Amino acid sequence: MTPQLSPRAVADKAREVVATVRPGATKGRRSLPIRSSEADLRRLWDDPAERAKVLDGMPVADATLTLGPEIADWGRTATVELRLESAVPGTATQVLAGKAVRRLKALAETGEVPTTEHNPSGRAA
Amino acid sequence: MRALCWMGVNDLQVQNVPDPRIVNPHDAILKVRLTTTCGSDLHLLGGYIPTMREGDVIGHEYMGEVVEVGPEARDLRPGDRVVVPSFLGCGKCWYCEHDEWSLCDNTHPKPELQEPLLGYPTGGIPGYSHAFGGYAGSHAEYIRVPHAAVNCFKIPDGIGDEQALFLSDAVPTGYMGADFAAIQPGDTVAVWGCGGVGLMAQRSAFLMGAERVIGIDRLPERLALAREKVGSQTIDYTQTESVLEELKEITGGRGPDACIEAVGMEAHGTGAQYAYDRVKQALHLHTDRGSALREAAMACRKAGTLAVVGVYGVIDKFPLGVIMNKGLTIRTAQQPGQRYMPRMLEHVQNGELDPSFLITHRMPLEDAARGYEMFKDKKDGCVRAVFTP
Repeated sequence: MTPQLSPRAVADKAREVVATVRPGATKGRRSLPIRSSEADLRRLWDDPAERAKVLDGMPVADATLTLGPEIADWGRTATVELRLESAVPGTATQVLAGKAVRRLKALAETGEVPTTEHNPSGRAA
Repeated sequence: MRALCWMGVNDLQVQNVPDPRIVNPHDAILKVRLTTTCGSDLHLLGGYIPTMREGDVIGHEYMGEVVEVGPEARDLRPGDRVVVPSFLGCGKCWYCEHDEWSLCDNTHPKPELQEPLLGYPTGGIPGYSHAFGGYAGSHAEYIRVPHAAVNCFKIPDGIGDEQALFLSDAVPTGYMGADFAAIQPGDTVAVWGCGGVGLMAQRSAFLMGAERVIGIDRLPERLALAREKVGSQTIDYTQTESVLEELKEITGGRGPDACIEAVGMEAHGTGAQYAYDRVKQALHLHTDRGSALREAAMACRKAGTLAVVGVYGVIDKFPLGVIMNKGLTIRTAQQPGQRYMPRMLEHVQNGELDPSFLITHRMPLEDAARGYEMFKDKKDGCVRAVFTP
């Protein structure tokens, strides 16, 4: 017969498991080519309102933009590096950096960030 | 407004939801005039595409009338009657500029949900899970269309709503399959699936010069449509010992020059392999039943082309050895409807293509859950149920 674990034993086991999860890095970076001039990318990044669109919802302590060379007709390499307020598991920081650089790309190339804001759904009914 | 919401696996309900509004400057709001079931929606209903949330408005194949435009939605006016390819492009990124609209870099609001599966995100699509962007779908009275100027195509006078509807998805998906098949005059093309996409792939193959097209399915009414509306030969795979042998016989032993797979991850079939796929999918040990894909690869002649337009997740037992040893060219994509729209509209205007025969059931949006039930279970000969909001 399988012995029943007490709630306390389950909680202790959970704490034990959680303790083995290694926190990920607080820093992460991602690059993408963006079809925009260096000056326009700098202007977007330095504008607090535009940068807020790029970093919306991210627990960011610090963010930097580095611009690299042009890649044929793909655009200029842009790298966003994030430092988060606290560590997150695995590669989540890179994922967030990836989301940020994609938002910057959309903003620079199209003038807007894709969003599902005000999306109709049965949840909001 | 009223909208059809996904409330859980095999649970659809028409509910009151908030109206969409202009959020970005390139947006337009459409009043949906017609919106249709698509076979790929069944993967959402069955729970095979993850990242659906309770309350999501589904639907991605539609046409409508512009009622409101953002300040940058140039060349569109309220009252314009338009059809919209299901995958959204931005018109500015490298992919859109190279006519790969479904791969757009700038229309996916939630790339982090898709990158773990694909490496890089696709463009966004309405009503097709959060992994594909999370945009509210078209089974509703109104829909927001991002980057409307490049995604809304005005429907010329003389083309009816029902003729235009399927240019949103079924036609470009089938047309792309035929385009991928690189058809030469005199070619024989075999198409797995005689649903909306498969029938449009067959019609497109003829438009592109195929001499003979063979449609493969199991449903008598769909096989009849392939014969009577498209002019294809047909094979009922439940009535033959071997589809491969039949195709060899038809093609003088060499096999079809191109095979188009228009079935996807929930293929039906016969025999032990189908039973294996069915059990494994039911136990969520894999997402796909790939018997049509495997059969198409096997049937294709050496150095032929295999075009895959059915929707897949993560298939196992992918027949790479068959493809490699026979030197097949495999081509596949989500449809870039914007690439094909001018040609498709021209075909319809010239009377060479009338997709409206796909409509077997017309009903108000309020009955959409029933429409999906009929569509899913293939009741009453349902090929496509079309809803009027």
